[in-house]
Amino acid sequence: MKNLLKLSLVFLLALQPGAWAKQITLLNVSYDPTRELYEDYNKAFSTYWKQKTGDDVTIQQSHGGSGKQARAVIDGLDADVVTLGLAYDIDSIAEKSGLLPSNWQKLLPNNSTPYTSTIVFLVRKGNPKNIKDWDDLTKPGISVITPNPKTSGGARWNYLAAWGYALKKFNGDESKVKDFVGAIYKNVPVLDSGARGSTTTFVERGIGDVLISWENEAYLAVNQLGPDKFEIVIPSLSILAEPPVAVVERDADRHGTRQVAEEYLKYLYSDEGQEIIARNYYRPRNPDIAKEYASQFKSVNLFTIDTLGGWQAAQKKHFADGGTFDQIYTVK
Amino acid sequence: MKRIVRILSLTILLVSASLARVVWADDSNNNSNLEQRLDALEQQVAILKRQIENSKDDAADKATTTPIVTANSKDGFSIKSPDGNYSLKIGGYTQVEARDFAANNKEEQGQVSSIIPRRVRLIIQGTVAHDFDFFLQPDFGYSNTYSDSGGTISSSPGAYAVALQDAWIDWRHFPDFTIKAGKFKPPFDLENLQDTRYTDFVELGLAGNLSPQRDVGAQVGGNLYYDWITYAAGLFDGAADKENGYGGYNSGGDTNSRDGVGRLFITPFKHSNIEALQGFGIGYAVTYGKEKGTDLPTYVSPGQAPVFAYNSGVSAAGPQLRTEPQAYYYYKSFGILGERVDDYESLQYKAGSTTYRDRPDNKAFNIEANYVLTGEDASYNGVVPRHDLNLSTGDWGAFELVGRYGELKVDKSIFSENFSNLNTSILSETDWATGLNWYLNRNVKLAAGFEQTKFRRGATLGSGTNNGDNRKTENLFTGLAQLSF
Repeated sequence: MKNLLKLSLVFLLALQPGAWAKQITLLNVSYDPTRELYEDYNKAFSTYWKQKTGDDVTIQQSHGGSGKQARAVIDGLDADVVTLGLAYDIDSIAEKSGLLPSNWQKLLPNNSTPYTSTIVFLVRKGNPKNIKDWDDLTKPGISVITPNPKTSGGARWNYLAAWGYALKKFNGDESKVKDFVGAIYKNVPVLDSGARGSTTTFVERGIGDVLISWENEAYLAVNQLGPDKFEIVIPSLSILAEPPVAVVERDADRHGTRQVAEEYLKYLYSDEGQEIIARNYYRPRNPDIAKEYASQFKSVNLFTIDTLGGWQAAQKKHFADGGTFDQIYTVK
Repeated sequence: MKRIVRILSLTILLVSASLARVVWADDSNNNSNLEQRLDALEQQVAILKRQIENSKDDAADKATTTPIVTANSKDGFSIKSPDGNYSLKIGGYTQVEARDFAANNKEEQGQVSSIIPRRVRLIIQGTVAHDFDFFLQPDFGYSNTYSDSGGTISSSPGAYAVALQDAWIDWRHFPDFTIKAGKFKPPFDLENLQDTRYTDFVELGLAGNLSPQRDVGAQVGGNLYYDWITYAAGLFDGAADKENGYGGYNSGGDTNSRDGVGRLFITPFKHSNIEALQGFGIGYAVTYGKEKGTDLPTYVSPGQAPVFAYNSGVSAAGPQLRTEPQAYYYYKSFGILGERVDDYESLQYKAGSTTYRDRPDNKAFNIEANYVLTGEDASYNGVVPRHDLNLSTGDWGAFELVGRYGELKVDKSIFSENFSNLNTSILSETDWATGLNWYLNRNVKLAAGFEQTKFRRGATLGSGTNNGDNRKTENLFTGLAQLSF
């Protein structure tokens, strides 16, 4: 009888959700400015997954310039998911390593971009240099902070936002556009490898008059580091940035984490995921939540990457070796 | 008048006030300029600091992907990935040996003094995918070839043959269980297992006559229990005594079955507090195989003259067992190494319709000692001079005194049963040697030595054969120049 009781107790304990809980670890290789977003999101997802399956999931994060991160994954960094700054970087992982299929962007809603962002200016409080638009960034004596497009996804969005503005200004006259963008980069004293590095340069090191920045970085700087120190200037035209996400299928299959990895990315589209996205100053895809947080964001006149021929064309034209960036920027 | 004074005073007042305004405005402007310039300088300094920070970050990033290239006396020429998973090292060594025999050896036994490139070896080694090591060692040096016909040994020195001394891969994911396959030194003879660059003498001691020098096969092995225990066990093609495996002399032509080889070596005090015993090691090695065929050994003198061979028609026919207890001891500048081989080989030959069989026990041992006169540590893995040769600072490298004593005894039954002939083969040889090694630096070694070997029975090569007598004592002067990297 006693033995039967003991056996029953063991059986009951075994049925408890935590008794056979699996310990799962995911590696999320992300671009530079998403630290705070994924700190919040990972907590929420872990709680959600525990409640749903009883399993414990720990998400490890790696952050850096989007291009650098993509190369790290190609070179063997064992990522379960990638959440990078632009589609081209995930395309290059698919093409050069075969770790995920070429149609990865179709596997999640909205071209696998659970949120959008854009490019704005962050200036010192009071805007002492009276920066209003892209033209002001070309003026002599203005110090502009932006990261290196060779390594940073945000930097490429910055560059193309300026290029798109200049295309419109000069009615497509490319030599004038090149001169215009060249004039901006002539005013860049430091090229950091990623967007967060540029934020550090501008905000913490006090270098520069204006930071060309991800919108979320700008709001973060203003709201977390002091509204009395910085303010945001919205240019008359900017680019719709769509940072995508994807499961690195071969690595996830090898780790046995495919299912969790897919759920991890899908949860970004959930109400809770979209709320976290909005609270971290990214523009959510969910229209209801976007409406709820509409007052947080300023209205921006946007163009898309398709205006510039898409990412493949833009990468080849501007950021490949010998592209327009190499032509206009010389190391100081 | 009063009016003029009033006007003058007013004028002076107005002019003074204007001058004061100008001076004050200048000061203000100057301060403002200074402040602007200071601000600009501060910005420049901040920019420079940030650029330096970024450069350091870039350098740290590059270090994780940039291969490490080295070229130095310790590591040779090598290239290695930052994570160590891939590496390639090119090395090698050349040994130019001078042999000079005493006059009677030259006249009566036809031994030839010579200067030869004894070993000219290129070493290509490396690691792939973290766990797999590879090693290639071709040899472009001098090789002796021997043949025996009807019990008469003839030597054909002078052949420059390209031989692949070593070619193996080693899987070492688990340091205590590694798998090695290819051509390499089987885990048997302690002196033979030493890296050839670090042996006390150019040629192996007499025990080397009874040991396989290299063979083709596979083995498992590793280090256990904090490296106190080294073990290896393998299956090999089956090399005859002194054979160098495929690609070396005395190779080919056999139909042996496979040889099992095993070795256990312990260094029980390696991690103890008893410093004087940390360099003590003792072990035991065994080979066993069922041999068949005519691939029988020829034993040589220290001067590499063939001194023993089996009669024509004698073949291996059955189990061969070799055993070797072995030990070494190294403490500070002193080292001593000893080993003894017992070789039990089953033999047969046919005379008419009768088959004669024997299982003789040939024995050999050598014991050698070294002492580093300049105080560096003696070691199984060679001597590293504390100071390289540098005449301007009065540094001379390291000097090492070496000595060896050895014996080889052929089982008498070999002769009584007519497996060999005492007129043309020795019954035993006893050898003592002494020498001085000079390590100019890690890469260059010079050596000089003298070796005397006495024989019982045996024949001389060429003319002047005296049946029933002992082969003339071999007096050999040796010199060596070695360059390794």
